[in-house]
Amino acid sequence: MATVVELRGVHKSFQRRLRSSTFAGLLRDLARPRRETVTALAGIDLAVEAGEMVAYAGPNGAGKSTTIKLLAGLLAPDSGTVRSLGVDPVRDRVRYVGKIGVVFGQRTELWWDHPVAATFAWRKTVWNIPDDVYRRSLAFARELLGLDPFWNATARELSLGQRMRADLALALVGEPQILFLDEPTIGLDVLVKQEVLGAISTLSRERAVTVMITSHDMADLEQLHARIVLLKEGAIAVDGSFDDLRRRMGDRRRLVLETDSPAAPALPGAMHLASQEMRHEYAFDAIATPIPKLLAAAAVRAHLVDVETHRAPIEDMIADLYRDWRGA
Amino acid sequence: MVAETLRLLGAGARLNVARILRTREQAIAHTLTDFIWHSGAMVAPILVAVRFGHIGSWPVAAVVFMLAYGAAVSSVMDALGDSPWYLSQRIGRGQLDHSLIQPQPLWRTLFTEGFTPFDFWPVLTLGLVLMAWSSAQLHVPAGPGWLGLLAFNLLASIAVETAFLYTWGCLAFWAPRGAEEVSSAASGLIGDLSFPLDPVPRPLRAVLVTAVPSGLLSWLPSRALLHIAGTGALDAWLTPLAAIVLGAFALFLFRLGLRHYRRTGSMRYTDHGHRR
Repeated sequence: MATVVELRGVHKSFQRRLRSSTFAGLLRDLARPRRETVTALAGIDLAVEAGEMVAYAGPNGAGKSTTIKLLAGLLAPDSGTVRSLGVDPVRDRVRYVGKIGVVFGQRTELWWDHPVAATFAWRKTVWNIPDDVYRRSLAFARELLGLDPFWNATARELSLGQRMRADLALALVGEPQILFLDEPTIGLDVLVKQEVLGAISTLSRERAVTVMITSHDMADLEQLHARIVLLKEGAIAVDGSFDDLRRRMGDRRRLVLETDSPAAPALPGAMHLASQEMRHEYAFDAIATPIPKLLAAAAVRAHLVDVETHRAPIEDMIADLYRDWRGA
Repeated sequence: MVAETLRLLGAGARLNVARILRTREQAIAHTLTDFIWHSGAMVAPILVAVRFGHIGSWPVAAVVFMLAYGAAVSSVMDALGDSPWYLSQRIGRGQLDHSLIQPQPLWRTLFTEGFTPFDFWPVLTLGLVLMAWSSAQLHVPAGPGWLGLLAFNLLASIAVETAFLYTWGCLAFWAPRGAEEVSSAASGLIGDLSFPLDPVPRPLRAVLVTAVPSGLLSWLPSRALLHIAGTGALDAWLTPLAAIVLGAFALFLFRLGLRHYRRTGSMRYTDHGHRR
């Protein structure tokens, strides 16, 4: 498969001015301003193949949005090279941005005082989309994201979920080769989130569109069965599948025991998390402590009424990982 | 290039018509208000001129011409949409990103986006009618050469105002929050010059045709076109010349600012940064 996105040794840092809280400090800062360098990206190397779906994640300030802006041609790197669809996104911006779709979850591309339909017609003109491509991609996007109920409503009348669906559909018109989605599920309720994620999945599966998506919500990203690229302080800390990530983090699981006593039995190799009446929840690593062994230990220590095991939520695993990073 | 620009202006015009048809009561009220506001601004100087028969060396019809010229400039500026008036807001709020993800040169996006030709035609019509009436009253030989010079000066005045607003608006590249409203503040500084500047002391007049070029939006070009007493032979070319100089300066500053924007982006790390 062809490489469509390539970042090599990309560095990006920003200057932040330091502020004093005392009057004397303020005067001192006035005469001699103090600045610190915030490193957003510290030598990123990344290649994305055509048709791939990449979940780009990391804690706040890890450099996710900076990468999306570099790839959307909005920002130039301090050093290193950024190539997407074979071109430099900043130098060849006009030619390049016609082939990509960009969605910023916290902003909208819709004309605020016009019906949703009007923004689509405007996009056709500005993006110079041929009639047949427009008709085909619009029909697909309208159906995929269910725009018909609010097609003629003005953007200001839309709910957040409707707006995001319309924004995503707008990015699909013209059949972009790559879709950059910066936190497209932020603030959405569970149902709309499912719809949006479903649409992104369908898009990747049926149209082989390359998708790079950032989100704080790891469960969302895991649901997309995407390649996960996890950033830590501007560098790639993890690059692989979610299964790889789980293996790397250990086979973290949860055990829920229902017993005849409110006292949680102590289990070797498992950490007691919480109890609710007679239900006791534990965290354990299934590789270090195999499930049969743990259950045998539980059976000896308590009268078991019911037993459940399941994988630890990805959010908990990532939170542990972030905590480890912060502590490191 | 021209065809593509016209195509995008057409897209703006279609949105403009659609909005007017959809919100007709509001659109009528808006247009009427704008018409009254512009007409009202003309009344005081015209009354003064009528009362005294002239303002300085300007007869009543010349004053009307100057005011009509100013109204025509301001109506075209309004029709050009948000770009000059709200450039600093666009930069300060990180909205330039929306323009940069459009597959068009940035100048074309800024020039065509928000084009609203149908909101301001009453004021433009008023301006053109009054210019025709007053030039007839003054027996101006309005041949093709004079009309061409008039059109050229109108375009130059529009360019001067745009360049002035862009020059100030560029401040937002370096101080996105502090200078977020500088474009609209600058428009207040330069706009609506209602009286001929001839009686104004020479140093102040010099300021008003250079640093704060209000005088170039109606007074100086009208004076040159109507050959008011004291006008030099080349005065009709002063506004176009100023438009070139100010335009070049604004372009230089904008490109410098854009280069800065490419380095810093609209992001949260600057202490005086963009809104999120």
